[in-house]
This record gives sequence, structure tokens and C-alpha cells, in this order.
Amino acid sequence: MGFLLLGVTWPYFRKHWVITLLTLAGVALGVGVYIAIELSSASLRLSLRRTVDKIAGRAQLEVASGEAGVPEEVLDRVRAVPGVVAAQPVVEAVVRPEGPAEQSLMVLGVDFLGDRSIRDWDFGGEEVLDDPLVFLAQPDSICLTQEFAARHALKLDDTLRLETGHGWKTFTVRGLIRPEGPATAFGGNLALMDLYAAQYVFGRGRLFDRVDVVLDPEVPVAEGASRLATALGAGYTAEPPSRRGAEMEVLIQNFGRTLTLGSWQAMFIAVFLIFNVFAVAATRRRREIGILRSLGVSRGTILRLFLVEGAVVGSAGAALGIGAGLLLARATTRFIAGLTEVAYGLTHSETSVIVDSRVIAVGAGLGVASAIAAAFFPALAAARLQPVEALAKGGFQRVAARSAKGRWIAGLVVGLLAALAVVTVSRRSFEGAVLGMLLVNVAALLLAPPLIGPLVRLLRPVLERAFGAEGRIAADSLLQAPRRTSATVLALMVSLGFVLTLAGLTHAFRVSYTTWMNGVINADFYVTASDRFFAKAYRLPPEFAEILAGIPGVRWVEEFRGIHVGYGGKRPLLATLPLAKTYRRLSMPIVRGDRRELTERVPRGEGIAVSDNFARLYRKDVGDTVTLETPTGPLALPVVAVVLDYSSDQGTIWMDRSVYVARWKDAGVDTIDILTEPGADRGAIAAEIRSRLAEKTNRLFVMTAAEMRGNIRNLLDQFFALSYIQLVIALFVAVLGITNTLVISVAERRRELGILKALGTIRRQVFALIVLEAVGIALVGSVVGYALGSYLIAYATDSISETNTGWTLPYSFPWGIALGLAPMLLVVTVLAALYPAKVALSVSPAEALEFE
Amino acid sequence: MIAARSATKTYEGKRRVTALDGVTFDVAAGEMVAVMGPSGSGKSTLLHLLGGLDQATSGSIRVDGVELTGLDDDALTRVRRDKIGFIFQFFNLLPTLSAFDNVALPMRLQRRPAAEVRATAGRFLELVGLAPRAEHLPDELSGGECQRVAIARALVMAPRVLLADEPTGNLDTKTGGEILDLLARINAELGSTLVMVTHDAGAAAACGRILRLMDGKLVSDGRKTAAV
Repeated sequence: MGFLLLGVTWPYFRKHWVITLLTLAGVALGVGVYIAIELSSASLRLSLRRTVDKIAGRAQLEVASGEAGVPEEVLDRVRAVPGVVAAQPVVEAVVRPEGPAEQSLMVLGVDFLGDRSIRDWDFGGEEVLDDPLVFLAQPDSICLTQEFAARHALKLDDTLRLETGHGWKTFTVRGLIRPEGPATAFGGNLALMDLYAAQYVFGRGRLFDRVDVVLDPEVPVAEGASRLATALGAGYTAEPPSRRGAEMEVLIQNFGRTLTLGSWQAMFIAVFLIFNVFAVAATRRRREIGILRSLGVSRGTILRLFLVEGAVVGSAGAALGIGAGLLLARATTRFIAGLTEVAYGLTHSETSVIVDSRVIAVGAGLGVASAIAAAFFPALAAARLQPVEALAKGGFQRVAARSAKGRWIAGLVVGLLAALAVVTVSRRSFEGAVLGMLLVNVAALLLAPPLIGPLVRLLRPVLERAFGAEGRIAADSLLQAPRRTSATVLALMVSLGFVLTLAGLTHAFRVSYTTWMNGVINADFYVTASDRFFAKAYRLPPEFAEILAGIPGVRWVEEFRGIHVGYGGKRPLLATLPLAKTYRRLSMPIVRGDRRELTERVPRGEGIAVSDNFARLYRKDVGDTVTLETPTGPLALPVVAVVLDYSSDQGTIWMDRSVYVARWKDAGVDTIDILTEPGADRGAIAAEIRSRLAEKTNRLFVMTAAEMRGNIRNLLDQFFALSYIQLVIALFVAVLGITNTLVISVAERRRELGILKALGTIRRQVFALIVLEAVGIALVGSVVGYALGSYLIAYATDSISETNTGWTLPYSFPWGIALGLAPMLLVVTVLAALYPAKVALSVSPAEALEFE
Repeated sequence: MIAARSATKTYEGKRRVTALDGVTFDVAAGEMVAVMGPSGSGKSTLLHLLGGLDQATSGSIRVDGVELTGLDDDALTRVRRDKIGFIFQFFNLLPTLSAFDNVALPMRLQRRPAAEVRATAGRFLELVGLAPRAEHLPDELSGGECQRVAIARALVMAPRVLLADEPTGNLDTKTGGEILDLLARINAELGSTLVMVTHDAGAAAACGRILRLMDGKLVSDGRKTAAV
């Protein structure tokens, strides 16, 4: 085997070094993208977990009430629970310090007198807390980690400006903490503040974010949690800190799952490239195989030879992929960190990549396994060749004819299974929907090749008419080698189909969301404390609403508060507004239920409205009861109406603010919606809003409905940047696949190119010939890719979307991306043809005509 | 029509190989010349140089008044297209094109008007006796028929010079004889200059003159009597 590898395989791959490099690039792309995304996801999860673990200190349980916060009076009830040794309240906010390109700073509001029972803060030689009362007496006091202070050249008594719920505020550094224990959390970007000062500056009112609990060593954690649950009642959770970390990790993992599709797409393409190269190698080395077989080399040895070649190519590609993945991981980590902050409000202290050897091993293993799997069928075909058949002309075509029949049968069987999945399991669960999509893709892969010939035949007269003999010869060349052509066409098909599906889904959502948003976001002004919609650090004090309501020309104001609540294993959005006012200005599209019931009963607190996706996800309809856990006990309300709503992919519950404030004990406000009198001077009102609140806060964002909608659209655009990544991968595939196919094509057609040159084909015509061949592949790949994509958009907007988010979206073909992709593909195609064309131009007719 | 002066071709590699060594001769317009010699004597190299498929390392090759030595690739291509027709041992037809399309190919590559292409290709297929099989693919034709198509293709651009590399080497004796008769007829009727490389003494006998090569050198240049 070693002799064969060195004497037969190595010279072949060395001779076709460009094809070999392209194949390695294919594997490297798949492995690299996989490793980058997995490492990024794992790094961010680990960073979150470390932060949660370190901040927790000795706390075994955390008492919380979702995002609503824990009322101050609950603290005594926690401390009174038998077995609770210490209970310390915490306010936690991630803020931006002043200065360009600063990192986020996590500010913990703690009770300095009691917090040491939970966390060990080491102030070293600067024992500020020898006189904690001095510290507490000055509400601008802040303690920083020595690490953060050193990085920003800050020392004791220096000042630091932070963005708070009341705008930029100046704090004085009155303590420096040694970088040990909890002080190393959040990458050391940590600050401590007095609990009550934190409540004020971050707009928490009389609420804590959570209460950290240490139990008696004799009391098991489960027992402690159970006692707390009993003592506090429903609406509060008492869970280990790791649980909160795990919840955040799931969000990143879910997000990463979407990105992982991109790495699978890349890996899938790599398999195609390898299959193509090995299938061609099996054909080109037919005589060689015949000679080896006639010299007594067994079928098994030929099979093993090809498989070992696959393994070697896979290993080398995987090695390159590891390097590429590690480099790429920095960018993807920043990308995921940015998007999870936009989407879920998760703030990451650092975006450095933590190298996990398991991820690298799995990525490399996948690369090698994919290469071996891709080489398997060509290897089998090579091993099955009879020596006589291998040495004779035309033998391979017979083998190909047999495999085409098998593929047809397999295609029909998979097609039937796909149809069955589409009408049955695809609507039941997300996994079922993904299975259906996978089967549709596999069926398309098996059934598309017979279409490629007819499509090229249709294209031939067009190319001939437009480009003369070169067009005809280019089309003929594609027809001559169906296997070579189809591998790239299929790779393009799957890739384009995937891009279009994602773009179609995005487009459908964008269209639906925009229509909905235009109808719902129609107040005259929106006042918020944060330009980031999911930033949890800032809230507006409720008294601001009263101040704004008093401005001349203001008809009314509405206080919006949205929190995520635990329900049915997910976290739907609880959106609250004074709905009696809200329903006067907007006509929420009703899917089911009576409008009068909705506008009368829900504002009175006699029921709730739920979004259509909530109804589907949790199987609730008009008349059903939804029970929510609140700090004041379970709250059961009937569903009065199902409304069209795109606020959250986890579903949305609309409830009147009066119910929320009473049951959640939270008067916080995220946004104040302002309606003005008809004909009022809006410019003057906007100025008055800023003026009246200027004394209270300098952290204020006043937006018109159009600006608010624009901001939300920008957020959506950031989120949908994902589809551009897939687009880039699809274009990579086009370059790799087409270059690969053309290099093989030129190598196989040296003699034909020699004839054409001998007949007087000039360089420009040879160049055109190769480019037209590439264009032919791209066109046929586009036709089948767009056809597959068109169907999959329908499938995705229906089954995938419904099972994942509960929304069924209208079919929407992404004309923008589809039309934009075509010229990009054309440019990429011409680029991909450059090298093969150069090779073709260098073919010497004299040598080529000798070539047999 | 053809003038070779000290034409030399060497290949540089691990070892320098001289394939053609200072060959000098002239071929007049309308002559039919055979080039003979054992394998490795430089026959094919000479044909490649005469056809502008390759460049001489030194010396000079003139075809119809054009000096080929030193021309760039596109200029050589134009000489091949305008002045030379090739006939190969293995026919070298494009397998996906019909007999008619193969013959028409050089004209189409030059963007000749469709009517002219149709008429000219049809006339030459008629000339080689294959008009009834115009729409057949090479795979559907016999060896002799393929070679006739190749001859028609070589003639279609009305070249001043026809270069044939073992045109009967892949055919049985009877078919080979028919092809030689056809070439002789074309030479006589159209006045094309024909240079034919061959191993076959019978084929060489059809020519009026035989150039004999040995180890890259021209060792004899004789009229018909020198054959065999």
C-alpha cells in the first residue's frame, strides 16, 4: 500500500496540484467554518458561565422573579426561611464607561455591610470599608477592580463617568479590589456600588434584581430551594446560579445552531468537491487501475488505496481548516457576541476565543470522515472495474449508466419519503420540519442530474447564437462529461437553494414585520432610556410619564413595560400597556376573537390577548386559560383574542399595565409612548419633553414613530446579517466548485483544445470557451438552485417557521437577493474560470495532439 | 510555398535533445511531398514546425511567404487558420459535432456568414463523398469516413498548404488506399501543396517527392524513384 501511495497516488496528485489544492480548500472551508462557529459559541458560553459562577461566590441559590425584580420586602421573608444562613440582594447592570472604544463594565449594587457573607472582596491595602459609612454616605462612590483601574489609569479618588438610567453620571473611585474570586468575573471589568445607589441610578425603584442565598451546610440545596419556593409562593424562583448561566447559554447555543447550519453547508459542499475529484480520478486513472489489476492487485487493495487517499486529503484539509478556523473564530465570536446582545440583551465581557481541543478534534474528525465518505463511491466504482473493462475504451460509460438507474430509483424512494414527511411530521415539530427539508434536498440531489443534460441542451442554441462556435463547444463540453458537470451543478443547487430559502424566510418575515410594525408603532413620540431595546440596565422611573402627560399639546401617554416570563418551558414576552388608551390609537389585527371583547375586557384586566405564534406554540386559543406565575401568586386569565403580532419569536402576551403593576409589583417603564393633539406643534413638544426631563436625567432618547421603526429595522438588519454569511459561503462554493470542474475539464480536454488551436482558434476564443463553460455551469446550477430554493421558501415560511416560532409567513420570493446574486455569481464565475483559462491557453497544440 | 532553412528544434530537459537538426529544403506550390523516417527521426517535429504548432529553436521556416519563427501565439494561430489545413492519424474530430458541424467548425470560429458556411461545408463534404452522412456523429462513422470528414475540414478554409500526419496510419489497407487517392485528387484538382508524414511506403509512393529523415537530419530528398 505504501508503495502504491508513493508510486501511483502521489505523482497523480502532484501532477494535478491545483485540483488537489482546491479540494483541500473545500475540506478546509468546511472544517474551518465548523470550528470557528463552535469555538465562538463555546467560548461565549464559557465566558458567561465563568462570570455567573464567580459573581455567585458562595451563593447556592438565587431568588428571582424573572426580569420583573424582587420587591424589597421579600428579602426579610427569604431570610426568615429555615436553613438560610445568609441572603444578600443584588442589582446588576452592564454599562458603558465614558471614552472611545471602551469595554462594557459590570456594576454590582451590593450591601457592603453584608455582602462578604456571600462574596470575598479583597480591598488589599486600601481598606475603604474600614469606614463603610463614609463610603455609603457618598452616593457617587464606586469600587473598581485593580485590573480595570490599571487599564484605565485610574487611582483612588479619581473620577469615572458612567452611563446610567439618569444619563452620564460622575463617580469617584473610593476603593480598589484585588483581582481575586468574584473580582475576576466579567474579564475583571467589574465595579461595586452601594445597593440603594444602584437601585436609583439604574431605575430599579424598590426592586432588587435577585437575592443570593447561602444555606446551612446541613440543608441540601434541593431542600433549601423547596423551602424557599414554599415560603415565597409562585412567582419566585429559587435556583442554583448555574441555572441562570445555563439559560443564557441556551440562548447562545440556539443562536449558534442557526450559524452551525452554515458550517454544515460548507462541509456538505466539501463532500461534493471531494466526490467530484475522486470520481474524475477514478475515470482518469482507469487504465492505471486496469494495469494494477492485471498485475494481480486485488479489488480490496484498490478500494483501500482510494479510501486512504481520501483520508490523506481529508487530514491535510482538516489541518488547514483548523488553522483557518482558529483565525476565523475571532471574527465569528465578535459577530455572535454582537448579535446575542442585540437579540437577547446578553452582554459579554470579552470576546476572546477559548480553544477547546474537543471542538477541534470533532471538526477535524468530521473533515476526515467526510473525505473518506465522499471518496467511498468513486473508490467502489474503481475497485469494481474488471481489468479488461478498465483497459478498454468506453468501459466507464457502462458503469455510469448502471449507477444512473440506481440513482433514479433511490431518488424516487427518497422523493416519496420527502413528500410523506412534508404532509405528516413537518408540521408537528421543528425536528420533523428539518427532517422534511433534508429529505427534499436529498431527493433533489438524486433526481436533478437527469435534468442537467436537457437544461444544457436548451442552453446550447442560446450560447451558440450569442457566442458562435465557442458557445456550442462549451455547451458540448458540459454534455460530454455529465458526472463532472453535475457534481458542481448540484453543489451550486444546494448552496443557492439554501441561500434563497434563508433569504426568502428573512424577506417574508421582514415584509410581515414591517406591515405589522407600521400599524402598531404609530404613537407620535417614544421616550426611552436606552438606545438598545433589550438593554436591561436602564429603566425609566414611572413619574416621568406623569411629567410628560402634563406637557401642553400631549393628549395622553402610555407606559410600556415588557418582560420575558417563564411559560411552557419557553420565555414568551409579557407586553404591558394601559390598553384602554392604546386600543384608541391602534387597530391590532385580530386573527381570532371579537374586537369588542378585546377592547373592553382586556383593558379591564379580565383577560389577555395573545399573539398568533403564542397560540400555536402553546396550543392556546380564545376561551382557554393561561396561568402565569407572579410575585403575588399564580395569575390565571382567559385568552380573549388572538392577535397578529411579531414582537417575540417565543410568543407574546398582551396584558393591561394595571394588572402587571399590581401582580408583579413593578412600576418600571421601558418606553413612554406619547400621543399629541391634532395640529399640535410636534417640534415644540419634542423640545419640551427634553426640557422637562433635563433636570431629572440626561439619558433620554426621544424618537418619532418613523425613527423608532427605523431603529427596529436596523436591529433586524443586524440580526439578518446571518443570511449574508451564507451568501458568502455560497459564492465560495461557486468559486471552488467551478474552478475545480474547469481545471479537470481542461486537463481532460487537452487534446480537444490542441485540435481547436490547430484549426485556428485564437487565444481570445479559447478564453471565451472556458469562461462560457463556467457560465453554463453557473446558469444550469442557478436554474436548479432557484427552482429548489423557490420550493423550499414555501416550505420554510410554512412548516419551518411555524414549528420554530409559531408564525406562518406569506410566501415571499427574495427578488432583491435573487437578482443581486445573479451578477455576483457571474463575476465569481468569470473569476473562477481565470486560472483554468490560463491553463487552457498554455496548452501547446503540438504536445496536446501527441496526447493519447 | 514552403522554405525551411537550417531549421533546428531542441528540447531542454534533464538532457538536451535535438529533435530536428539544421534541416533545409523547399517545397514548391502544388507539390505532394512525403516525409519518411524511423520513429524518433523528427518527422512529426518537422510537421509541427511547418504547421506553426511549434516554433523552431533556430533557423527559419517560411510558409507562403510568412516567416513563422518568432511569431507570437496569436499570429501563428492566424497562419494556421488562413494558410494551413491539418489531417491527423487519429482524425481528431470533435465527438459531439456531426460530420457537417466538424467540417463547418473552422469557418464558424471565424464568424463566416451562415449561408457561406452551409454552402462551403456542404461542397467539401460532397467532394469527399460524405454528403449523405452529413448529420452523423463521428462515433457513427467508420475510420475511413472519419478521415474523409477530417480532410474536408482541412480543406474548408481553402488553405495553401495541407499537412497530413500518418493519414492512413489508423486505417486498413483498402480504406487507406482510398484516402490516398482522395488526397492525390485534391492535390491535382485544387492545386493544394501537400506534405504528408508517413511510415507507409505505399502511401509515400503516392507522392511525387520523398524527404527522408534520420536522427533529426534530412538524409535524402528524392523524386518518386527514391520511394520504397
